[in-house]
Amino acid sequence: MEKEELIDNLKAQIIRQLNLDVDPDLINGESPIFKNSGLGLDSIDDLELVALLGRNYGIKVGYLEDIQKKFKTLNSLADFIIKESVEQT
Amino acid sequence: MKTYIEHTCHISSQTISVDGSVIFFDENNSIGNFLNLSYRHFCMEYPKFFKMDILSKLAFLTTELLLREVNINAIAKENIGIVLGNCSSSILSDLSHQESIQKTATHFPSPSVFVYTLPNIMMGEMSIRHGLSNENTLFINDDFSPEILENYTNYLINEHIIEYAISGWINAQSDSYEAFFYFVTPHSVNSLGNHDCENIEYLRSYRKEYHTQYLENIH
Repeated sequence: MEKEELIDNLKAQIIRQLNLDVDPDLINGESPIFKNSGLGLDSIDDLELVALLGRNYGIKVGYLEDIQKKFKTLNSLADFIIKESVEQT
Repeated sequence: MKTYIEHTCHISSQTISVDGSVIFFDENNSIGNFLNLSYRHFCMEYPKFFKMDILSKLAFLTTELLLREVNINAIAKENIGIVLGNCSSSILSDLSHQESIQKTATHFPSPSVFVYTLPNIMMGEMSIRHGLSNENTLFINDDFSPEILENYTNYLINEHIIEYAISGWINAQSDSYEAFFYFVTPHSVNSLGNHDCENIEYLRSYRKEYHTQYLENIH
């Protein structure tokens, strides 16, 4: 999957899974996901994001890892998914 | 000490009324859509609303509209308690969670669903929103029990644990929902009558029937 397409998919999945009331067009690859994002995400959303990665991409992320440090933007999240997908094949 | 009901807010049958007057209705939506539509209609600004389950959204909306009628700035938040009744617990979230773990192949529990599989979480949402830090209690009974609501709320007020209360009944199932909240006060000025079993029952029944008839009249 192309990275652009992955980012669009991630955007839709995050909005749907986290029940965010935001306009998808206002989020781009460099939009911060957590701090200062205006999306109002909390610790439950961290867990939801971990569940999303497992369910949709077969990627396991340890609960002790600092989700907010690793995935600052959709770009960094997409890069992580692509890297993990390559390592699994 | 006598207590009184100052204001009411009732949500049922796609209709919302405050102190007996209908302020919003929508006849063509599911409960989830109706609640979201109501939130937008009243121009509320609380993004976390959309992450709540049906029961918490219902509690949030009813509380928000009730407290808009109360001179809340004149009351110390730590003097307000919450006493509610319910019969179906958090059944809608329970079923959602069960569905997510039912099959081994698709076993993906959702944290944001699981967190609402306790009905008293809705009181947490109410408390966070309005800064309420005193007693909050949810009684789960087979049916609406105004005696318990009257007795326990009055006990809390008479023992000076709280001075005011958001009290009432709230329930949500797949095919029906209802929230009837009222504000209990020790002051009789501008009240809707005594805070007693008879008046609680009357106000709730009157509102519920009025909502049903309101929709029928529309058609």
